[in-house]
Amino acid sequence: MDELSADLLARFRAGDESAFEAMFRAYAAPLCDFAMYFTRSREQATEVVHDVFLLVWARRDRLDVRTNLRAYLYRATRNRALEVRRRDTFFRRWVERTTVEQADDESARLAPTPHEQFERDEQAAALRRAIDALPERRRMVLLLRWRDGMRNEQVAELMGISVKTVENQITQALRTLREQLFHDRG
Amino acid sequence: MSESVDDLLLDRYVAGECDAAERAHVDRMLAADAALARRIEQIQALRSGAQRMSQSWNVDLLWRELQERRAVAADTHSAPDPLAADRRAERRAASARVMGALPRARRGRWAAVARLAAAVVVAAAAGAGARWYAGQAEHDAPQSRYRMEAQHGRIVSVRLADGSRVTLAAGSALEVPRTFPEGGRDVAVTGQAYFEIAHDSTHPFRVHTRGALTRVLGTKFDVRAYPEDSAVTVVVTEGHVAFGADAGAGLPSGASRRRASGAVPSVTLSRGDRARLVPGGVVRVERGVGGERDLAWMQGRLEFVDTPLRAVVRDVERWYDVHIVLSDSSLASAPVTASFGNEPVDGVLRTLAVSLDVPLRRRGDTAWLGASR
Repeated sequence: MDELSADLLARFRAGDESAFEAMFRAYAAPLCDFAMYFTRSREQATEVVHDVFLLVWARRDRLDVRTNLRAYLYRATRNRALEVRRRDTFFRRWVERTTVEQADDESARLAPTPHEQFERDEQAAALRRAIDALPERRRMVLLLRWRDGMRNEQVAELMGISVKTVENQITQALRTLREQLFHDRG
Repeated sequence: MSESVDDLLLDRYVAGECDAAERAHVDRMLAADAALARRIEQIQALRSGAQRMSQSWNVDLLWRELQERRAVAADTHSAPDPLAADRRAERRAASARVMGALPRARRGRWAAVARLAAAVVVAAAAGAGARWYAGQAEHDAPQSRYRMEAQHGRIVSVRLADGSRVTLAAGSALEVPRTFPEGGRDVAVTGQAYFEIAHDSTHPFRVHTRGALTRVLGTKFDVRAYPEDSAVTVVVTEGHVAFGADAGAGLPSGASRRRASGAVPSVTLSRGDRARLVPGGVVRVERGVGGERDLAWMQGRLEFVDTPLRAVVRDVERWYDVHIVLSDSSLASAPVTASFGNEPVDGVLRTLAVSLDVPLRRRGDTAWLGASR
């Protein structure tokens, strides 16, 4: 995931709707994944990400041009997700029930994209399965690191864990994935 | 195995994060160790695979939902900054003035409607509905409505045409248009109901309750507005709703009314928020306090915390379909804290009598609490 161009950021700050949408489309999915790490419910994760985008839109004129937008979005997502999680202790029972329903709904509602339908790359599918099967924290570390291209220090800061823990997670994940995907014990 | 080069260094090498010295070190080892090349290739493959991992999020849908939330925010005159809105709402929670006090005449009408409670009736409400909506503007042609009632002692779950589910507590009624009209899904409730609203951005769902209007897009919340209650109470368990006085004070029948009701100030409520519209048109919001107690009725439980006996008695009457007489009127405001599950009504009455230290007498469906005369 690349940084958005300076031009897009400038248009966004000027209140350009299409720039806002482009920004949302670029970051919404990875941010939802990230929010899930804290909330553990799709419903809440999307609520958090919506909150965050409403927030940045409302504060767009106060956004410093030199701001690392991506870091800002991830930090805002983490803070909001933790807030929502605190607020929702009362509703744990309801949330759990919703999550089950939601899981069914999602699978029914989301038609597979052409990309998914024609995912001919067997190895990519196998990799996806393997990463999804990792323990949640390890999965999140890998996605932030490999998919979102963050440095270990950034991953540690966002997830509220030490750099050492991030490194351990990567080492463990590499061992697991090598064995599973390349049948390599080396 | 190339023990001298660990995976973390290779991972940073592939990511392009190594400094010149580290790069030189890896390159040197690479020349001496063929296995190292394979390890680097593997990490490259994993990394580029992760980058292409197809997303399990429907971004189109998420974008549409965001647009809806912005529309709701604009509609309710709340700032588009959700965090600031929370803070502001907390500050004004004690006394948000909302236009339009409860009209007294309407309360009487709602009360009359609730008294009709029979079995679970699903019928076109030609008679009751027409009376109910009499007195509105002439262009409001009478519409055919369905009316559903949960009699005393029952909980009824109704699935609406749009897929929404409404659970009605004992002694509650729901009215819905025979077909959902263009522009919005308007329903009316007396008593208590839990709403699970099917998402439909083009048809906002509006719940009219005795002078209060609750507007939603797709969410879950509880509404309580028994005729005897002093306030209309809403508790949100999921998503967001806009809550305030109902400018139209009832179901709208024309587009003009719909626009008018949108102009009334309202408060945006989120999960865990409890709001009450009290007589005089004041909305009181408590953030994050709504909990299981508000929804205990869904599990077949009656829960009271420092509730005046007069209110407890009304809930028990609805729940068990009995008639309770307080022989001593001074008992009415005695605070009761109790939780009842599925015990028979005799157990409930006995618990009340013992905790209040008053005698209990029962004949048929009527019970007397307090010293008999």
